[in-house]
Amino acid sequence: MEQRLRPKRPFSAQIHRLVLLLLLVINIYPLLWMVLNSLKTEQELTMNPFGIARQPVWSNYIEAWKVAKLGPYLINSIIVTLSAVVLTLLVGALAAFFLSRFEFKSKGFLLVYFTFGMLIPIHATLVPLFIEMRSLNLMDNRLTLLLPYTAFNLPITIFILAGFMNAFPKEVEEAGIMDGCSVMGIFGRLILPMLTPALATAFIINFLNNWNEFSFALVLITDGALKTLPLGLANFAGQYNRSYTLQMAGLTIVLVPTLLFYLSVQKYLTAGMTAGAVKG
Amino acid sequence: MKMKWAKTFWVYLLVTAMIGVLSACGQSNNTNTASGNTGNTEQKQVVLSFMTTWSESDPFTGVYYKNAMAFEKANPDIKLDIETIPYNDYPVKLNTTAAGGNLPDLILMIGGGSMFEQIARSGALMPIDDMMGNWKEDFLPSSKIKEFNVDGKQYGIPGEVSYATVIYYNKKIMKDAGYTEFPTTYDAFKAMVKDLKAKNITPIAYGNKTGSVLLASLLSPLNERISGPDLYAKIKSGEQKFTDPDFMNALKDIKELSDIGAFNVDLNSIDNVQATNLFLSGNSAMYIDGSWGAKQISKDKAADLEVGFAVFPQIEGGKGSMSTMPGATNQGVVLNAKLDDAKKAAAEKFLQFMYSEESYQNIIRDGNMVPANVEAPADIDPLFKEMTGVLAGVKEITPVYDIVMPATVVTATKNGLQGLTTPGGSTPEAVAEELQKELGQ
Repeated sequence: MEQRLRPKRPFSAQIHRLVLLLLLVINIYPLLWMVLNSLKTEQELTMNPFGIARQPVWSNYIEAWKVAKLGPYLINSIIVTLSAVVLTLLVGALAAFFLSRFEFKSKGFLLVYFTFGMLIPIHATLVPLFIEMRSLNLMDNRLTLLLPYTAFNLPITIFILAGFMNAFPKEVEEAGIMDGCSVMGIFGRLILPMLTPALATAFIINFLNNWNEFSFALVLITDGALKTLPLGLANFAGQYNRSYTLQMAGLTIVLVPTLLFYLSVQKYLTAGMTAGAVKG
Repeated sequence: MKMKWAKTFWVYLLVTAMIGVLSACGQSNNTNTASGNTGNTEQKQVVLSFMTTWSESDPFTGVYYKNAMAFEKANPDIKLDIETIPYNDYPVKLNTTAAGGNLPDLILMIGGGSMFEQIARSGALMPIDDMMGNWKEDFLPSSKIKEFNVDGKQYGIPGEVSYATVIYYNKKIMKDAGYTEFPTTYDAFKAMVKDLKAKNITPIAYGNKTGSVLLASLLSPLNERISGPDLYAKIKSGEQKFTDPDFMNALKDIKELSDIGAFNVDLNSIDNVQATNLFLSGNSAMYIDGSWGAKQISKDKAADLEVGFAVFPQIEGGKGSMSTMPGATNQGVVLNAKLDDAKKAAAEKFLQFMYSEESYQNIIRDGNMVPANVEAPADIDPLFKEMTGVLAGVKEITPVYDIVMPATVVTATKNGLQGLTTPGGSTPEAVAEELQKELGQ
C-alpha cells in the first residue's frame, strides 16, 4: 500500500542508494565494533569478538581514563592542537594571499619551495629538530610542539589556500581598490570571507594531523604534565601484551571530541562562496 | 562587511593573546621546576632522572615499577624523576635522545644486544665494573649477564631472562587425539603435527604479522638443535654461510612444517595476541611463543582450559640439546656516563636495590624467570609453577637471532620467513641467498 503512495524512484537512483548504504555500513561498522567491544571483559572479547557484551563493563572507561591519563592529556591536546591550527591558518592565509594574488620575481620559486615542504618525511627531521630545540632551550614547554606543528602543516595549508584563491576573479580586488581599500583591507574584508570553505578544509586537515601527531610529541616532550593524547593511548600496548578492551574504551572517549569538531565544521566545507561575490 | 572585519580583528587579537598566554605558561612552568630543584638541593636530596617503559598498570613491568617505588621509600634522600615511555615507542625516544646527547641519568635497556652495544660504544654510558663487587658470582653467574657486557665492560644487570621458545599445548585436544606425552624427538613431533592436521585440528597457532614470532620461537630453536649454540657467531665471522647446509636445513624444516599444514593459514596476517586467542578459544592444539606468553595465557584463559608446557624437541643427529634454549636477558638499568659523584653513589644504591634477592623474588612472583640464583617463593601462580618445572632442565642460554644479527639481516629474515610460509612463496634457497647477500654488504 505504502509503496504505491510513494513516487517511484528510477532504478539507477535505487542502485545509488544501495551503494551508498553499503559504504555507510562499511564505514560505520568498525566504529560500532569498537564501541561494542569497549564494554566487554578481556576474556569475553577472546571468546566472543563479534557479539554484544552480556554485561556491559562500564569500569573499562574509568580504567582507560586513568591508564591513558586522558584528563591532563586531553586538555594539552586541545590547547596545542587549536593554537597550532589557528596560527597555521593565519600565517598560511597571508602567505597564500601574496603568493596567489601578487606578481613578483621569485613567486614561482617560493611556491615550489613551500610545496617541497610537503615531501619532507617527519622521521628524518626528528634528531636534528631535537638538537635544535634543546639548544634553543625550547624543550618541555607549551611552545615546543606549537612551532613544529605549525611549520609542518604550513605547506599543505598554503597549497590548498593558494589553489582556492587562484580561482577568485580579479574584479574582486579591483572593486576593493575602487572603494579605497588598503592591501590588508582587501585581504581582511574581501579575500578572507570568500576563503571560508578552503579555510575549513585546511582547518580539518590541520586539526586531524595535530590531534594524531605522535613522533614529535614523543621525542620533544619529557614532562608528564605537557604530554598529548596519542602518547597516552600508546600506554595500552605493553611489551608482550595489549589490553584491547581498555584501548577501545580509550579510543571511544577520544573519538567524541573529534566527531563533535567535525560535525561543527562540516557545513562550511560544502558551502559555495564565490558565487555572487562580484555583485556585492 | 563591517561585522566581518570586526570578527577578523578579534581573531587576530585572540591569537596574539593566546601566544602570549602560552609562552607565559611555558615560562612559569620553567621557573616552577627551577625553584623545585633549588629546594631539593637545600635538603641534599639527589634527583635521578630515569627513562623507562615501566608503568604501574602494565602487567609485565608493574613489578619493576613497584620495586623502584619501594627503593624511593627506603631512600628518602634519593628521588627518582621517572618518565614512562610506551614500549613500542621506546627505541625511537632512546635513539633520538642518545643521538642528541641528552640522555637522562638512568636509562632502561629493554634488552642487551645490538642497539645497546651501539650506545655503549659511543661512550654515552658509564661502565659499572667498580660496582660489581656488590653481587657474588654464585648469586649472579656472569654467564647469565653477559648480554649487558660490551667489549669486556659491564654496563648493567638484567632483571629477567626470557626463553624464546616454549610450546604451550591444549591438554584436552592432545588427549582426545591420543597424545598423553609430548614428543621429545623432532620426528615424532612432525608425525604428531601431520596426525593432528589429518584429524582436522590446526596444529600450531602463530601470529607472525610482525615477522618476529617465527624468527624468535621457531628459527632460533631449530638453528640451535641442528647446529649447536655458536652458529650465529660463525655466520657473522664468515666461518659459515647462510647457504651452508646447517642454516638451510632449518629453513627447509620451516618450509616443510608450512607445507604439511602445521600452522593456521592466516599466520602472516594476524598478530600474536590474535594467535593467543585462537589457542585459548580451543581452535589450535599448540601455540609457540616465548616464556613471557604464559602470563597473558594465565590471565585470559577460561577456567576449564588445561594448558601444558613442553620444551622444543631434540633433532636426531643435531649438535644441540634440550638443556639449551635460545633466550634473552632483559630489563637492565644503565647509567649515563656524565653522572657526578653524588649521583653515581645514588645510582649504585639504586642498582643494588633493584637487583637484590628480594627484588628478584618479586620479579619471580610476578611470573618471570630471573638470571640470579634465587629461591622461588611458594606463593606463585600454579600455571607458572608448572612452566618453571618444565623449564628447570634448561641450563644454558644461547643468543637469540634478532639480538645478534645486524638489523638489516633481521628484517630480511623476517620477510624471508613470511615468504617461506606463504603458499607459493619463496624457496629456502632463495631466502638463504638473499640473507647472505644482505650480510655481505
